[in-house]
Amino acid sequence: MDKVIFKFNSITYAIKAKNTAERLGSKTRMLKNPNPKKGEGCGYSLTVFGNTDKVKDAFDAGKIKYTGYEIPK
Amino acid sequence: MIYFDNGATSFPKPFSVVNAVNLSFCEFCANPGRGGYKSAMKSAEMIYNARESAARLFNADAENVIFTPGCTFSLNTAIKGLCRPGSHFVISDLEHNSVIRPLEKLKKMGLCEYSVAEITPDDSTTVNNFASAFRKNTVAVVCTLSSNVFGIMPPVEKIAREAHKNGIIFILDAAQGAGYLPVNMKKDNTDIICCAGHKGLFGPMGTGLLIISNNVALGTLTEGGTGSNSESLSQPDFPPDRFESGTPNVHGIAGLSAGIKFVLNVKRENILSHENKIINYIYDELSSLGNVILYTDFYDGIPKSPVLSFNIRSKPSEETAALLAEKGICVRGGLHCAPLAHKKFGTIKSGTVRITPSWFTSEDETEFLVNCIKKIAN
Repeated sequence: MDKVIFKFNSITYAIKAKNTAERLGSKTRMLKNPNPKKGEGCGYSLTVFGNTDKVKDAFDAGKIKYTGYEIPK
Repeated sequence: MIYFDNGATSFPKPFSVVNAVNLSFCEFCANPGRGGYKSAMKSAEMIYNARESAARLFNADAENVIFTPGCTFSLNTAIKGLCRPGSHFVISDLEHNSVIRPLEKLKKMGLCEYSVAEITPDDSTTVNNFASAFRKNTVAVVCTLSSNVFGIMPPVEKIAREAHKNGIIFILDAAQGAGYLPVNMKKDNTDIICCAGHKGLFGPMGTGLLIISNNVALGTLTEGGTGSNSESLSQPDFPPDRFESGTPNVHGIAGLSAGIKFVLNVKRENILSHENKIINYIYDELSSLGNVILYTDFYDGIPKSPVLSFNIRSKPSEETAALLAEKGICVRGGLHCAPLAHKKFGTIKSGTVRITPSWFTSEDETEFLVNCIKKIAN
């Protein structure tokens, strides 16, 4: 199953993203961003399992602001 | 107690609201948007759900729903957040002091000016009154959804359209009407909605909403910790964080969320229809009494919300309200913080007695109220 970690600077956008991803059938895990880089302090991360391309498109279309994303190795 | 002061705050609250507030002290005990542990996340999810419910009711985006301590705070944020030195505002002649006083303060500080446009029975005259008050430096129009004293409903959608034609932001004061009158942010060209949480939305006192559209750049009234962008010394530039500094009123928001869900379930059209039925009955009964002065005609075809002001000839409004209070009836006398509306109707000295029912007002209570007014009037 493909997996992408999206990062958010606000809990509001993280939850909106979580709900959107789950509506598309993906599983998710939301955490305080465990490894914040510069500019990401106090942010949240959302790991999306499955349908990641579709989910990313939905985030972009829904103007769900993420600060970045990582594809774990 | 027989309660007809829902225009001040609604009572009773739905049982689901009372329950939600009670349970929130156990279920949502952690600070949302700060910690990453389960109970903090649970609080944050509840708050996001509340935003989504409000967004659904007003056709807005959830992240643009901002929780405030009340409509006054929302209006202060909207007005002061848009004010720049040399700005000009246009307001209606039915506005509440929560609109007039911030503008008066800014005016006295030399920061802005404002004009008052007259609401008339004819929509196009009303819209023209606003249009002719616009100046090059007009930044916003502030208009009430419904007069909190006389129930008159200005043609807000048409006024908003005229404002937009001139590049002016439209702020809707929906304190009186949100929850039972139609408010559709995207359809009605509204840029900013300000409303109370504790009136037609059945939330606890100390709750309110500020809802902004995507194209509004609004300054802040307060700054502080938001749980986001914490390394930055500047306030975040994105809603809702930009406008929600400090720990939110989690328990109030839990109640407000339940109140909004109650409105969505019962349907605002049904609430309006019930309240109109009550007000029309009272209007019909009082209009046959020679000693009672009514200020609005419920059959003249001009849209009105279920708010009725009256006086008993030769009695100050406060005295009538006090006599009704002796019978256990709660109504409000006086000026209702809306001096412009009273000047318009010639009631600035006497004030008026205001009757505002709710979804929970029964026919028996209404009949009792009418009988008590009849006795006082005779």
